[in-house]
Amino acid sequence: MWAVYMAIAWLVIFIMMGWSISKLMKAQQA
Amino acid sequence: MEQREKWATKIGLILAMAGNAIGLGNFVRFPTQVAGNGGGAFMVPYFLALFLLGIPVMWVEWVQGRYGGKYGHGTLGPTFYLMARESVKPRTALIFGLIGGALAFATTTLLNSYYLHLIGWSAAYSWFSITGAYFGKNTAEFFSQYLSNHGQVFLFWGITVVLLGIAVGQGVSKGIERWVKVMMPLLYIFAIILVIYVFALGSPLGDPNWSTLKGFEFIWSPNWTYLKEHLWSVMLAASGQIFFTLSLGMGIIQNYASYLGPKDDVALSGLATVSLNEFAEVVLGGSIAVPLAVAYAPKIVPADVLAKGSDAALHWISENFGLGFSYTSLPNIFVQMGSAGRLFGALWFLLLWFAGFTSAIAMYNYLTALLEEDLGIPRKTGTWVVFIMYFLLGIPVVYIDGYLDQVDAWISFQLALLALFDIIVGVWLFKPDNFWKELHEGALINVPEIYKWITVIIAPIFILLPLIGTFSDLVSKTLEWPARIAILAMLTIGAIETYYAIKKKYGEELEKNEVIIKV
Repeated sequence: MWAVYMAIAWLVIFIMMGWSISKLMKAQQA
Repeated sequence: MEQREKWATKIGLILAMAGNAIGLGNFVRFPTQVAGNGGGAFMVPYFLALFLLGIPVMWVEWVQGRYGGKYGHGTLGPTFYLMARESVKPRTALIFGLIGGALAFATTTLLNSYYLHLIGWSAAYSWFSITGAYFGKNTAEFFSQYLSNHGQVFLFWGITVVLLGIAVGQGVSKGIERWVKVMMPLLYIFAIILVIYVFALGSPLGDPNWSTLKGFEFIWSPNWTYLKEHLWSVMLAASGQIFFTLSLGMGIIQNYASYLGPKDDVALSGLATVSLNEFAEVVLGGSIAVPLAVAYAPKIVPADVLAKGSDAALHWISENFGLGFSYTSLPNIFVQMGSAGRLFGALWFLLLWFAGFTSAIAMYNYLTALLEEDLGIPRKTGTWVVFIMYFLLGIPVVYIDGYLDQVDAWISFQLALLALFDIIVGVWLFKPDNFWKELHEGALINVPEIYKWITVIIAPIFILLPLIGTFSDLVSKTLEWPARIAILAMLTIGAIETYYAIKKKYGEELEKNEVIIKV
């Protein structure tokens, strides 16, 4: 079960990071 | 108004902000807190504190920084004064300015005075790892011998601080931004290499009871029983960690944000900073030291404790994890790895050095900006003034036993105190509607309305937790005279300097007790 919790936490962080950085990069290019 | 420096690129700004936030807190303090607070029991309040405290206060500090920058200020005293003016008369606003200025000055001087030494230790240990200096020796004795060799301690300290001075002296976009653009990708690459190695390590001693996976299990099994029994202390530790890791309550996020343009985004940028920091903390910082310690437990845990079983051994690791652990127990593990350990150890300590360097640079820049903007001392000269100040403030760290721990205990309290004033001044006195409007000025995202109320009501309650908790701890520990004198001196100098800075620019306002200067 611990592996599931770890996977969820990592996923949330990856999504937050990927989404915010890619949005910032798009804004930089625009 | 004089034109202030600006960040050259968005990515440069975000890397600088992430470097500011990512420090020893991510790779040493976080594993220490997780290990010492029931492993998985810690992670539940940690995430709660991240969303209810970390993210809102990060936004408040970005808003404050950009607001101060509009008026040409990168320091907290004048910024607090300007924001408080929205609700109270200038003479009352001055009091809030003095509080903010004094606290930020005390943090950037005192915290960095010992932080720079810890970074120096990391530089030294990176060198000792690659040369194998502690291999075949008692690592605890080696560490104490190193600390008593003051020439060597100051050599690695000096190398670090001279490099910091050079980077800060070159300015914001040409210095700090360029340096972090190299250092931050390297930091992430080093950490990712180490994490992959840890995953691949499995059970290095051949006993399946002791594997790196067991370490991950320890961190990620929500230990509800432990949490129920130690709710207050774990909540306290979790919210305290959030301040440290995100560099909140120090004045340095505001300082970096003051170099933004008035219409530059703060909402998405603040969130990106938090995300990058959490990646470095939870994903990377949580996957190196603790799993390694568990996998090599039979080699670092005393035999009598080990004989009592794996729970007792994990408990020993929890109790003994900490700063000293990084320099005494972890090197033992590198020795066990043989020649690969030299490289692994060097990478680990170099990672700590990079992480520390990119945070220390922000504190260094705060003081340089203070000298430049408030006192008119040119940046290049200012960096040397700050260098000398850090040298002097670092002397008691090296020569007085217990001084570092006492000042560190005070700083823990002070971070929460300043974060509380961040909200009192930057949201309550500045007015929640103004704060919300400022947050969305030039914003690349729409922050859900619920966060306005989390910032106004829930975050300050969350801050009061560590504040009350650490204060009682501080009183019971009782600061000794050298630490007390240093703290009082820095607070006093900070307040006097702030008074001078505000009076110089807003003297007429204070005299008439009405707002005159508005941009």
